[in-house]
Amino acid sequence: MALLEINNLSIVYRTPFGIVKALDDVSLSLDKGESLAVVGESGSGKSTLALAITRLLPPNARYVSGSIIFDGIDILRLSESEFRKIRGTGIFMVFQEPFTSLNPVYKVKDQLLEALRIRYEREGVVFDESKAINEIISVLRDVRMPDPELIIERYPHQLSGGQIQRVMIAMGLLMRPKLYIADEPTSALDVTVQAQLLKLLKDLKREYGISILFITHDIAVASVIGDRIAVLYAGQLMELGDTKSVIYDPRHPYTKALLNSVPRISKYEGKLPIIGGSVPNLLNPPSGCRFYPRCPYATDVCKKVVPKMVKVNNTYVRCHLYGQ
Amino acid sequence: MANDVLIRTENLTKVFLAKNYGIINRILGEKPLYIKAVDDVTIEIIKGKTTAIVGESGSGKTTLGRLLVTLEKPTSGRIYFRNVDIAKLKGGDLYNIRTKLQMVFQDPYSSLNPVMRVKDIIGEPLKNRGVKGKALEEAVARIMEEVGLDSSLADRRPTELSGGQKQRVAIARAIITNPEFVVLDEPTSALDASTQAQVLNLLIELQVRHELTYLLITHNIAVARYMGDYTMIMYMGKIFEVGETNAILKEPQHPYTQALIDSLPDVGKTELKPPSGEVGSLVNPPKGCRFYPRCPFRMDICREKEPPLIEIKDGIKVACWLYAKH
Repeated sequence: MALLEINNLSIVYRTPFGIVKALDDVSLSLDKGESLAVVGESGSGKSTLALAITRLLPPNARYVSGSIIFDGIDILRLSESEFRKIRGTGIFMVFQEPFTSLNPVYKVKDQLLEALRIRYEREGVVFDESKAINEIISVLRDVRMPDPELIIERYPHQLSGGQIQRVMIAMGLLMRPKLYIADEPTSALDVTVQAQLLKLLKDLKREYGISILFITHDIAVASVIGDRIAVLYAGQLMELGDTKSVIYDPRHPYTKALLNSVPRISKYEGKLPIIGGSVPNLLNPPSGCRFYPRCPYATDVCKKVVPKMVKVNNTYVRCHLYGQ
Repeated sequence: MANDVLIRTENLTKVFLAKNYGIINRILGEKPLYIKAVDDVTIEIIKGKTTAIVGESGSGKTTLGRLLVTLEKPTSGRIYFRNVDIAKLKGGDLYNIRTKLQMVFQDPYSSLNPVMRVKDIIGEPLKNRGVKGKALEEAVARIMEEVGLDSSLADRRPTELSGGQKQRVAIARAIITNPEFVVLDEPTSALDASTQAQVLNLLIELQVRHELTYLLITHNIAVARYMGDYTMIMYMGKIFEVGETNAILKEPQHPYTQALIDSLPDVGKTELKPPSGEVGSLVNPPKGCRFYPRCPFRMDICREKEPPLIEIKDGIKVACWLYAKH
């Protein structure tokens, strides 16, 4: 059974300008020990997806339909106090902006101890501070933090962005969650630090067997971290498949265009082909396929009918070019 | 190099105060703390070409760009634009030369005045130089068409535009004075993948049409590969490697250049090989080579002495003791 199963999830935001259809009929699943990279541009709904799974959506958001089954439980049916028990030890999330994710007035040590205290409490184990400190130091070593004994005595503003993200990843490891959600954890960081963290996450996945949902705008990052890739566009899931198939044999015109429009280091591609137009306004999304105004293969049917997800070889595609 | 040199610097250095150093600190006898953002940089920028500066945050790439368009005054060293030392210019001469030197800033969300209309933002540099009425209107309309902005956007304000449109406005404003040299500071890092390609292609078109010389500041070596004829690799205020982009990417000589290439995620790459550690402190930089603490090939001399930037083969210059005579 899959660890996480999202079925036909639709989410809207009520705004002063009207209803924003942020996610439309998204279905995907994640197995234990697997990493799934969700790729999308701004406005694709990728962060909404992460917040929906952690039930951290702002008050103006509404779940219109669908279900999110985590570890056999439909989390949308849980009360807030029931769901709080899943947060942290069940689902753990690392946020995009390192400098706002830790509390600035507490030392790193106190914040990591708090996380451990919660896990011990849920496991019914007596909390022992010196034992906990040892565990913290050893996990900080696991995330390749230099001088962990010194780092835990510091306040967040005394750390670099890369170090804070390491602390956040370590906090996740201390909670031993079943599912790790990372929302662009590396996009505010330098390339060499980003590479260190991506490598670290891959190593930890192998060593600890954690399941990762990794959200990114960069398809190159997705191809490095993901066992499978999900491509989101304007709130619709366009393509879902294992990384090799999506990268080397993309089916959806949007995936193809996205892959072609990124400057590459390994090959000279001549002039970059561009995707004309821009991401649609979700207050008033295009009828039918949301990519059709920018799609080179668009036909009349694309304008009228929302394509269904169909399976082509190993990938799922939402496009009228395939199936039926 | 046989090509025309448009801008040349000699031992250019920019030092910032790291901490406020007021009269009380002086009375207390504290020493001021300095940061060398750009340290002894001697470079040439070839006319009509794109030179890319690649580096991580804190490498001094933006400060170098700002120095070259006279937005910062150098602490020491010279900057020659067509053999005029622009670091020494003052008053009217400085004002006039600035029409030839323009800059497109990194973040279009904060670089445009939110209360001005698009046409006023784009036309302001010309208006300040006495162009008005019909001539101004026509110039603005012409440049808007050129950068792909629909004329219906002329009366809008920046908040009503998308990221890509905003960056087109910034580009239009930079090239309306007919500059010769444009510094592009991370022009696409705030944009989505599909918009990034549109803006990069627009910049290339404009360069050909107006014979522009670009200095492209970027942290993404793949963008440098796409745009740059020449590439400079910068680290903690120092130039580490300079040369033709293709030559540098094909055979990176400096260990840091290699590390940057190995760190960049690319479609189809499964393993990344980043260097260990992080960028060091600029207040107290390592005495020898700045990359020494992270370098896999470090030797004793690297800790003691800074390596000189020397030419090791046709047009490729490297600052590394692996290539210099000890």
